[in-house]
This record gives sequence, structure tokens and C-alpha cells, in this order.
Amino acid sequence: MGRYRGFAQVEYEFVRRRVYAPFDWTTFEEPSPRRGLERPLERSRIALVATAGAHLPGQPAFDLGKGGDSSYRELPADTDELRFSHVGYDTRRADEDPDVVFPLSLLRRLAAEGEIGELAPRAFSFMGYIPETEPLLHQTGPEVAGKLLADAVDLVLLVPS
Amino acid sequence: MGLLQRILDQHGLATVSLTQIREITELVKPSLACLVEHPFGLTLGAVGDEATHRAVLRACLAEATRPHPAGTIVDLGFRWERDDLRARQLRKQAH
Repeated sequence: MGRYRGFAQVEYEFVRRRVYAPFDWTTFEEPSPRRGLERPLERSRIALVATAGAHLPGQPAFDLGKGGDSSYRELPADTDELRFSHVGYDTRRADEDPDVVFPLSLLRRLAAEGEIGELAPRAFSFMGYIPETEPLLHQTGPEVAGKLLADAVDLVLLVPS
Repeated sequence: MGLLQRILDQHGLATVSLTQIREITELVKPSLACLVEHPFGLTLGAVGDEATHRAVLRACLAEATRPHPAGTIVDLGFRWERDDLRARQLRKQAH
């Protein structure tokens, strides 16, 4: 009997045995507070935040080492120049069609078609393997939150990979 | 993903996320998550399958407009039936 259910236990055992021995899930007893959307989607400014390891060609790739990488990249919402670096999935699929994990292009089309109001001026990209969560919780995560607030976004869409 | 979402929630932002693994999201308890049982690296669907990408995104965004209590995980009903990639990934036998 493991500590966790299903894939949470599989991943827990895999990472500890093969990648990063001190790894454990960061868990919570209570959900974080929910703020509802205050205007219709067709008038909302939506920001994309994803953990696919997307970055621009001129930006540094993410660190694929065993300690993970809690840094992030800012990407202008109109970019089509995406690269991907990630240890947790085969990035060749995203190279071929970024919308599978980083749907910036699709969100632009939804905005052009009037289904959403507009895209926020910048998207934020992390690489999802972050076994040591303190820098994310206390530095890079709050930094991105501040930038999203500065961009006056109505809704943040988070996409894992 | 859930940890980052929790930080954004704590800063007063409205958020909605996709998740591929319910049991991990249940450990972290972000404000609102939408389950799609697709493979890692194909969160919105297969390469080139824009119809599914759009359907996933529309369904997810629609849930953000609904009055769910904090901690809700909505199953959007998307399942991966093309091959056994997801099943092998869940056994750590594929990347």
C-alpha cells in the first residue's frame, strides 16, 4: 500500500528512485480560494500560463537536470517562434504543433473570432519538473502573479503538459 | 501546475486549469481544474487535431464562467482512444 493513489504513487516512486531521492508531493488540506470570472468570456482578457517548457529562440532553454527548474520565460502573445525544453514529455509533438501544450495560437484565433475578448499581452512559461518547490512558491510564482495583475487579466488559463 | 495555480489564486486572480491526472490535482487542491485524460505532451489532443483542441479549450473556459466551489475538479469527458500512449506513460513505459 503506497502513500498516494494511482499515478501519484507511480510518479512518487519513480522520481525518488530514479531522479531525485528527496522528492515528495507538496500537498494541501484546503483548496485555494476561487475568484469567479467577473465578465463574459467574450469581453475577458485571458492570459496563458503553461508548464510545457516553451521559450523563444533567443531565450535560454530550461535546465533539464535532476534538480528541476523553477524559472519562467515571458513570451509576447503574438509570437509564433516557440521552442520547447522539458524532461517530462516528448517535445517533438509540441515542436510540430505547439497548440497541443501551449495553445497561444488557438487563443489568438478564439479572440479574433470573438469567443474571448482578448489575449493578455504576454504569456508565461514554466518547465513542469520542479521537485524543489520553495523557489516557485516564494519567488517565481509570486513574480508571475504580480505581472498578471499588472496586465489586468480577467482570467488565467493554466495548461500542464 | 496546481501549485502555480494556488499561488495565482492566493493573489486574487481568477484561474482555471487543465489537468491530466486527477489524483495529483486532488493532493494540491487548486481552485478549479478541468480533467482531460490525454497523454503527457498532448494535453489538448493529437498533433493537428484542431477540432479537439478547440473543444477542450472551449469546455475549460466555459467552466470558468460557472459557480463551482473552490477545489472543484470537473471531468470534461475527453479520453484518449487513438493508441496506448497514455496507458504506457502512466506505467512509466513511454515518454
